[in-house]
Amino acid sequence: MSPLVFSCLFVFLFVLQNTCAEERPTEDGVKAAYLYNFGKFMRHPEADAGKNDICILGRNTIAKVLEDSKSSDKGDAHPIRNYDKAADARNCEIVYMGASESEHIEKDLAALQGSNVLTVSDVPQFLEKGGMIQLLLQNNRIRFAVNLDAVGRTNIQLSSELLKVAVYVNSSARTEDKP
Amino acid sequence: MKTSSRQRSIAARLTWMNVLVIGIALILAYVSFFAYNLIAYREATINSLTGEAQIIGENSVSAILFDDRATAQATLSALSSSRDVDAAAIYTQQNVPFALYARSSTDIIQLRPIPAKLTLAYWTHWESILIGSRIVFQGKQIGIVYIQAHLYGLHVQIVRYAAIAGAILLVCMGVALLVGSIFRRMLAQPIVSISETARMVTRYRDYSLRFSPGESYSEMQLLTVAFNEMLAEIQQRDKALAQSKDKLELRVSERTAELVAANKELEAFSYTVAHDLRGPLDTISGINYIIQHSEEQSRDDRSRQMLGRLGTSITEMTNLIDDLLNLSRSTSIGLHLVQQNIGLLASTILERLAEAEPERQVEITVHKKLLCQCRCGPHAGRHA
Repeated sequence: MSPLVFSCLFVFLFVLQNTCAEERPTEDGVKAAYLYNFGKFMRHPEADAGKNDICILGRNTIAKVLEDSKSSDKGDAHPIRNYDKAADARNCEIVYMGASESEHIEKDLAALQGSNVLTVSDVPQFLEKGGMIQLLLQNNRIRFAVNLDAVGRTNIQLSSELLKVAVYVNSSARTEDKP
Repeated sequence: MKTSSRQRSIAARLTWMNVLVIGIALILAYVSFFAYNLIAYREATINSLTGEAQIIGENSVSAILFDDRATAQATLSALSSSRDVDAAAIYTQQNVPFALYARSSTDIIQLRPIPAKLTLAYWTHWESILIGSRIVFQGKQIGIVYIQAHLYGLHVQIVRYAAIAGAILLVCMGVALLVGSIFRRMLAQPIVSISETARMVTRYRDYSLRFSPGESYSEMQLLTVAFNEMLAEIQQRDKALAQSKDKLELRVSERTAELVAANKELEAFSYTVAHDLRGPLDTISGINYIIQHSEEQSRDDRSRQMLGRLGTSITEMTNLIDDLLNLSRSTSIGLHLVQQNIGLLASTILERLAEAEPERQVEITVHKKLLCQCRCGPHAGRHA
């Protein structure tokens, strides 16, 4: 095989891979969409009616995806903020805790306690640690579970539609036992 | 024996007319109700399916947004309780199938694009209905739900309506026959009676018969009066005609008698004249014979010729008298007709005239073979 043919084949395969990748959304893309959509199925108390910030704790690639989604979805603008400390995110609508926060999840959750913030994370055993929504990977699909006990400790109300599509809604269940 | 429609009585026709009118009216009513029911049923089904499509769309919002196909599938499966729904599907905004439901493997949805400005559209094809409803969440379309249904209930409706209409039709026709048989006596009996009277009048030529309507309606009374007046008129004319006929016959018989008498008188006169002429003519003939056969040598040619002509005239006179006698008897014994050659007869008459008046120079041409022939007495032609 000549170097020219090999180069052409390589370029073709690269383009094909990129094309296929565009058709199927990335994991971060799906998680970002979920963060946007969670906001559509929750209701804040009247005092927090104006807030709609989506905040990212720690360093996470999802922040960039959220920014890109924001620019492409002009009619559905949610300010995206990135914080290193959970205490700074008490005024956010949704706080996402990425993998970088796995070591101090309990501390972050404690810092947010008492504020009407929906906490979301894909860190294992997030619900058991007091988180509200945990993103899960099931059959190559992103799903989520809800801890209603944690939600109940705030003034946030989640829509039954959201609970309907959750893989389970339980505060005491272990995430490892998910169906 | 089968009776044709023209031979049926008016009463039977009235009864059948009632039954026919009721039957047609009921069938028209059934068709109208059926058409109305078909439209109403179709509209009700469309409304019901539209509602179901919107409910499914509302319940599928979170499933679409969170890519939960199982929940969407479960939502669609609730349509299995809907008898008319064959298949349903939820498509994403990118027109990708998200969840499908089919009652059987042969039920496939034939998708159609919803017009741009509509959130809901439906397409019907006889018993098949396709509903398409956009799934809109917070002002944005996130998918489309399609429901394909079949109006299975329509067959049930048709059979049910046909059964009810058939039963009502039978009952109504039975009632119509019963009521018709009661009322037809009241309506048709006077007509039947008047036709019977007309038949009697026609058969027996008895125009003195009259129809008595009894209790009847004004139309029948008018008809009865007109009928009776017509009979009276016919009777009067018939009577006048009979009188005229009698007068005419009397007059004809009188004239015939007069004619017969005149003929008899004429016959007697002719006979008398002929008989009275025959005597002297026989005498003249005898004398002529004697003169012809006596002293024949002393007579010159002219005298001989004159005597010969006298004999010929006497013979003709005798024939003439015989013919006159025959003519006088002809009224009683009839004419004995023979065929005569007109041409020959005319030539004979012309020769006699030429001999009688030799000084006249008249040129007359008669075809001896004149084929025109007439039927007359043997000597009648010569009297012309």
